[in-house]
Amino acid sequence: MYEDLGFEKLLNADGFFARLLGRSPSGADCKPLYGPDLPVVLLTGGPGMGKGRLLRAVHDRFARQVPVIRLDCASLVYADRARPEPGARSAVTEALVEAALLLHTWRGTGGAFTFPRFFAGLAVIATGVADDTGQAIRTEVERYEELIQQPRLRGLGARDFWRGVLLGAVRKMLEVLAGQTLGPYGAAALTALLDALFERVTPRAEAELTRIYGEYPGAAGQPKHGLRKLATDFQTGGERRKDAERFLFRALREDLEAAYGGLGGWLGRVGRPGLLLDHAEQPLGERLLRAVLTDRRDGQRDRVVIVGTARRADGGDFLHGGLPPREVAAFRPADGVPATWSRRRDPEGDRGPLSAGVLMLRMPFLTGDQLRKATERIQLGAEREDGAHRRRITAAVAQLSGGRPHTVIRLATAAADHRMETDANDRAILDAKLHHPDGAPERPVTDVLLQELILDQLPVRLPDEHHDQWLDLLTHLSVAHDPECADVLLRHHQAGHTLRLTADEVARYLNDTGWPSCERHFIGDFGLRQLLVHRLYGLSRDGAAWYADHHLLRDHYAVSGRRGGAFHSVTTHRMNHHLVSGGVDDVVRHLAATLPGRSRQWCEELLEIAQAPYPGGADERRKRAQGLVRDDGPPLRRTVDQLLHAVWLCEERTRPTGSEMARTLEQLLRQLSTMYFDGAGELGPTATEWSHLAANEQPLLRCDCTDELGRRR
Amino acid sequence: MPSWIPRWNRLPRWGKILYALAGVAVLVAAGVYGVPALQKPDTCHDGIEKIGGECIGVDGAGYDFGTPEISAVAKAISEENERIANQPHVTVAMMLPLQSDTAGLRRQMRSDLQGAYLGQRRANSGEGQVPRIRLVLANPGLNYGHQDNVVSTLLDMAESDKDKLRAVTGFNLTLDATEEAVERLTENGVPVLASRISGDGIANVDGEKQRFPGLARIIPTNGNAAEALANFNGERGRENARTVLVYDTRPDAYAESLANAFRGIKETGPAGPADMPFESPGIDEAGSTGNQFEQVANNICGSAADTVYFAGRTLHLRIFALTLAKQTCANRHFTLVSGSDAASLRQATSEKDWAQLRGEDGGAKVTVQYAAPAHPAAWDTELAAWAKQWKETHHREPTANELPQYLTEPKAALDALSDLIKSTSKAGTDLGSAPNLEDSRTMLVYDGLVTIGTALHEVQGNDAEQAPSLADVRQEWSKLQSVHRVKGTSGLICLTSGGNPYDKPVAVVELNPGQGVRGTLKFVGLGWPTGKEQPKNCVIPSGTS
Repeated sequence: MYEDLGFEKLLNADGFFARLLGRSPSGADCKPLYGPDLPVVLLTGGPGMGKGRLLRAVHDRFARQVPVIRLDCASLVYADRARPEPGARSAVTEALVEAALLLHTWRGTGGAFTFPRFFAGLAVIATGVADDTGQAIRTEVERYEELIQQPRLRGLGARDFWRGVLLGAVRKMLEVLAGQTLGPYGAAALTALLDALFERVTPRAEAELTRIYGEYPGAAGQPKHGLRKLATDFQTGGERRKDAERFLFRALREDLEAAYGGLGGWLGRVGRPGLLLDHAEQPLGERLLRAVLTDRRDGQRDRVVIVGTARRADGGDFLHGGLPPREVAAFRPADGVPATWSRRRDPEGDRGPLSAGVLMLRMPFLTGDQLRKATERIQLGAEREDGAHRRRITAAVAQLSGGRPHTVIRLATAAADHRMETDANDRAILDAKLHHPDGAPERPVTDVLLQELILDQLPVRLPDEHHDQWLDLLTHLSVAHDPECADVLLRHHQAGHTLRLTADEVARYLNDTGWPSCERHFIGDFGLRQLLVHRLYGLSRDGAAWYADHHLLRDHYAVSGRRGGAFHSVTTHRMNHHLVSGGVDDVVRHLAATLPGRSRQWCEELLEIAQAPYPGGADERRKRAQGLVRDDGPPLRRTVDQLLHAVWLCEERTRPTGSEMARTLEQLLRQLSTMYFDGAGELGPTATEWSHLAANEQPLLRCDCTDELGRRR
Repeated sequence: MPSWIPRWNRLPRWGKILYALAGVAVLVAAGVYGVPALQKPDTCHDGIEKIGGECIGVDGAGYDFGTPEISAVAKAISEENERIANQPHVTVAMMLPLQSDTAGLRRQMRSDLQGAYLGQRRANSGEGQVPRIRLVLANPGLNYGHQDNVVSTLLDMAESDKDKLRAVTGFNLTLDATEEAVERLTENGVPVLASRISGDGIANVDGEKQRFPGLARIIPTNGNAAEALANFNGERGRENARTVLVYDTRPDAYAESLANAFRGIKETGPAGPADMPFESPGIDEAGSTGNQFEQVANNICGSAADTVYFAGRTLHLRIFALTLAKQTCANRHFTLVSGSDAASLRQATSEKDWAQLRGEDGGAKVTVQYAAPAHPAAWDTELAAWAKQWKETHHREPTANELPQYLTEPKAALDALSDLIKSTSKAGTDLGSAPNLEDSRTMLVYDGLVTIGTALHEVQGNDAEQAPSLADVRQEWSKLQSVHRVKGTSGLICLTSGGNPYDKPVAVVELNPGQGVRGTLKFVGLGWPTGKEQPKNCVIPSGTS
């Protein structure tokens, strides 16, 4: 239902994918984009940005017109298949075989593909089977035989010089293998197999094998040597196995390239073949991407469109070769597709980082318009509510999702029949229950989202022993501002664990998963932070866990001599945690005492202290800001109290403020500026500035994570 | 577009190439077959264009132009053409409209073609006389409407060494289009022999510059015929008080020339009724002529006139005669005098019409008298009368030599034609019907072909393979006189320098309702345009040409 939400432009007849694949979804010709040196396209974006959804949509739309296949690199099936024969298979080879089989069954324009080159490589690594009898090798080779069988209705692209010959050679080879009864095999079987193969192939086929396997490192132009070395490298494992796998992938692409080349291919094939690698940040995906990027960096050219996914904005460490990330070609759909792409020229030449061959497509956040339409469309299905309520829900969804498509869909669906007060905190919709369409019991939308965004997408490198506590740790870390805060919390919550995660590790894992920190928050994403804060408050009764964490940090920063971290001073940092954990009056007192004589600095401190979420429970901030709660203190203290609550409310950004609060802010600051203390007059300009920001729903204290917000209107 | 036809931009290259090749093939096929088919005119038959439902063109291979009446005779002509195909021959075209919705007209066409066929046979019958005549039929359409096309074809044929067209004959109607056709043919040097044109407009005036160089005619002009009629009727026909002229004001060369001829008769005595005009819509369209004639007839009743000169076409003559017969003064007997077109009157008049023309006592109310260009009974009747008179003065039978040549020679020619008809019939040649000589068409067309044959044989040089030129034939017309006179079935044909027949007699015939079912056509005598018979050997006196 929401498969193409936000991707309409990318998927339409003149969109990026139609031009990349050279065919529109309706099958019409498109002038192909880029080439002959094609970039590997990486869809970058954190969890819930729709990378997998986009790949599914591309597959659904284009697979009937061009040979596009999709592999899920997170799937365990490849590793499972490889497990019985670790010497003859790997997850990579199994994934490649799967890809080849899918292309072998392609029935669109141009017909099926055959993979004689790829098969030759597979046949030699088959000699690495654990039970190295002739029969076992024969059985292993037979697994791949289908790849070279001509489809019943041969397309125009079928190459005659392979036809029958290779199959004959294979049969011969299998006979030879079956005839040998003495072990051990290994090299002997390999030799017999290669002899049988090269005895029967035509000169043209041999030339093809020479072109590919003759280039294998150490082959010295001899295809037999190349294949033999491929087999031994594969069995050796480690880096050498990676080389072998890279060559197998290359052979597969060469087979595709050959199918498109020649007269038959020129006449019969359309567009470009495509390989969509979902969850390419997984090791399998990374190995495939690395293989193709290395080949293309080394000058190998093919027309296979490779599209992968990456959670990190820089695409992942493997692209940068250990160097600081360099500028990578990238675009956002809203800015339009770059008309040209050329490989980045690195000073290292063909030893440069792999990122030179990449084009990044930044997954788009939903625009305010898309978001509102999607939310309203989802809500239309629910009970009819009045317009004001719907707008409130839409605003809350916008604020909490930050335009992250998956979050939008989930929140809007859950909130569709959730009652929400006009003045409620946006986080109130996180209590909504989500009816699962396939009949599973309803669950709070927070749980569903955290499951999908965090638990289902654990950091790839996160050690297994931390899997269980990962969400809980993140939940506690939601109140952390900087690594120091985080470390304090981590130490506390991992007490008793032998293996502990440090803040730095957690930050790295988060970054790898697409949840980078921002300058003032350890959990940088506003929406995720709200989810975690919400979870934290509900973790134990009356928000005990929440208070405990804040008290822990307050106490940590009470010790003199520490640095403020993300804050100007340690006191400010402490006051921030104190404010949200029941120390409002202390904070007011502190503020009232420190104001005279340092107005400008005081204002900055006020903003830092008040940039905090409000704990659950009754929210009196609005009343207190407007002076509706009786307070008998001196005027300065009273005014500071009101101002603190007004600023807190405005800075939290999960509650409607608008012009009313802007007026209050201005009034209070003007009131202060007329009081008799040093520097009071300096508050006048601040009054104007803050009220303008508040009136326009702008953050009073800007932070990276607030940039995605401001979509309430 | 149906979904099973893949769109162009969805096709792989081989599909596009296939489509493109198919497209090119379609274009080429369209170019090769379609364009000529589009450019090719609609045809009725090989070489015969279909224009506005009419089949226009020239054919000598037996095509009947869609007129079943002439199928047999067209076939006979093509057979004769085939017979002489391997002998030295030239082509003669027979040009006249060959299609009509009127059965009567179609029968007339058959009579014309029968004459043409018989004339061709006669011209081709001389042992060793070359060139032979290959006869082709040229249909210029209704009222010669498409003569332009046909004339162009004929001009091409005249230039062609294969066809060697040397003369065009036919021409049965005096119309502006006929005049144009004759003018264009003669201007381009093609000899024309008009066998049945009587209009004064399509004739050269002797002694003046020839308007139609190479035109020969074999019947008197309307003027001459009118003179002959007046001469024949003697005093009665010249008495002004007893004559009245009724004429058609529609532009029609025949009617105009006839009216002029009648006006030219020198009349005597007190003035009679003024000329009475009427206007008809067309040659064979009645229109409102019935009403117009009602008044004309009334006026005539009121006058002392009993001889009406009628300058109009047959159809209108019939209507006028019927109208006149209905008048109260019809106890008087009227004589209607008209021109050669009246020859068709008998065929066009129904039994009911005849009954109307008869009085209650069975006597004729109206007698139509006209100058037929020929009549089969003329020679026998005249010879008998001549012999009777001779006997009265000489009291003995005249010897063969004493018989007048101007009667005996045409009689011999007519006898020969009758023999030819018999022999043709005996040989089993189907001409569609037995030729009926009475309406004179067959005789005149036959005479035309014989005249052309004579001219061709005269100009043929010693080399039989060398066909005479167009100029030879053109110049030969005026030499056909005196010794080289043509003995026609319609009278001796001796052509003046202008190609006109000198003192060609007209057969004055009277159409009487009589007692018979279809009336009787009675030959009453010969009229001579000059007032006297043709001279001995038909030597044209000096001063005539």
